[in-house]
Amino acid sequence: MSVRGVKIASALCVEAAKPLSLCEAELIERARTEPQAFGNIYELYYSRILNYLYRRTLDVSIAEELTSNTFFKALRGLSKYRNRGAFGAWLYRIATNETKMHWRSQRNWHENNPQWQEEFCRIYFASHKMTAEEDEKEKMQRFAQLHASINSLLDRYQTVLVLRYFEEMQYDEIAKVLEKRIGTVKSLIHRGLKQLKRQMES
Amino acid sequence: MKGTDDIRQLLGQTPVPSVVEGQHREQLKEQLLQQIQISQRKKKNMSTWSLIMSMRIAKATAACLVATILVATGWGAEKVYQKLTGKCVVIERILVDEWTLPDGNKMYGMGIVGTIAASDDPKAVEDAKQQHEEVKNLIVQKEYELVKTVESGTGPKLYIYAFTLPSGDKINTNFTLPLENVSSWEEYLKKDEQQRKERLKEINKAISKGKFRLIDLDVLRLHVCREVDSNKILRVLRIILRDGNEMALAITDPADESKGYSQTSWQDHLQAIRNGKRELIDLDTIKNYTYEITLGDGSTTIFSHNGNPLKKSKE
Repeated sequence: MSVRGVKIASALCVEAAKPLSLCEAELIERARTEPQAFGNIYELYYSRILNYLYRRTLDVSIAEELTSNTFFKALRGLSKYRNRGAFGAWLYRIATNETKMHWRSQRNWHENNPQWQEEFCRIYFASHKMTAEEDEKEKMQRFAQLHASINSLLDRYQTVLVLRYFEEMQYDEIAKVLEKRIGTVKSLIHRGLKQLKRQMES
Repeated sequence: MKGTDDIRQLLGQTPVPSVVEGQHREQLKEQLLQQIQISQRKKKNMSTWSLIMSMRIAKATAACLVATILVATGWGAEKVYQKLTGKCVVIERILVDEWTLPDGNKMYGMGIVGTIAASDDPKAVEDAKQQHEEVKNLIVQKEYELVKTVESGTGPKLYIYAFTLPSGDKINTNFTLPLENVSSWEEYLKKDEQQRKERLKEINKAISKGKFRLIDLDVLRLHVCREVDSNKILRVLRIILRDGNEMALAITDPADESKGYSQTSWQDHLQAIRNGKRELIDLDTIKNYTYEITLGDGSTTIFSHNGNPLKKSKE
């Protein structure tokens, strides 16, 4: 009769000069057995996932909750994750699914969400210069209006438009997140834009 | 894409908000790291306790199973012997092998050498001890007869010898080597150990070359309980005996310094939960994989273990 013992740790990522994807692959491999390594992955992706989820929900509390769900699911699925250099895409995919499940459980989600006004102190705009607080609020109102229009589209269009224009992902990155071909992604974006235009004009 | 240019422009020019991070970042990180530590501790506990196939076994074998569990949980062989004396007597020794599989996982193998008497009767224990000493003498005197050899499929070939004791009683005993090649019991033990280690090396080589196939898969379930009075955490394994009765083997958590085990019927265990003496907390499951391994000489052997399946290395 035999018993399985404790697994020995895998190789370390030691060369900073390596491309990020290669170092990340080693980090992920280590994360399967070393808490510290998973902590490093978490630090790499936390902000991106949190912001993505905020831009999908316009609610900081909900975004934080979905971020927690995303990382816990990633942790649970890490042993089965096949390390093909698309870990970020995998995380985004989990986050996207969390968003879908969240919307399914919400009623009247297409109505304006007043939450951003209550949480305004938790928001900032990195790419535009801040002048006065009113400017920030105007920016937020513009974004909220656009957000409401995007949210009225079918889920598949919402996702591609947010990933492309808010997350500023390239087509191949979006393709990895959605596990679709690049051509399909371009087509979805094009159709999503047309739908959005119709929505805004009506 | 003229029709959508204006929309693209709008999307490109609309400022995108970001979140000012608060306590959530650190809190979530802490929760995740805690979860990892809990999982690792759980995995380690499972790996050191695991084993056992869910097969119907005789009471004596069940008691030996206990020995296996206890050795695997870090009890010394001698302590196990003392604990088991009176329940299942191991006259000679409990063997524990430790080796590392090609994928880096450590393995523990256990064997029992000697005479086993599953009895609470002290006389039966004494008789078994005496019988064992007599067999050892007969080996030195080369007073035995080979009855047959058996290919067990799970280990080395077995040689069955008949001994006639001074009392006139005849007994048959299994050995893993031809007795003609040894001059004493001690020499037999030494050669048996050597053979065992060689076999493990051969198994390891075969595994590293991918010469194995999964032939059976089973799941063991353990109740994770808290003993209310002592506040100890127990893992309770259900063992089905050959006569159809079901036994509950409750083992204390390795973190518990007292370390022990208790044996009751499965019904008594369930009753203890209903009566509030044990609090049922969780269910642990352990997969047991049985492989047919093809050794270097072309022969096959059966190899079972728990935890994660063996992986074939990429060629």
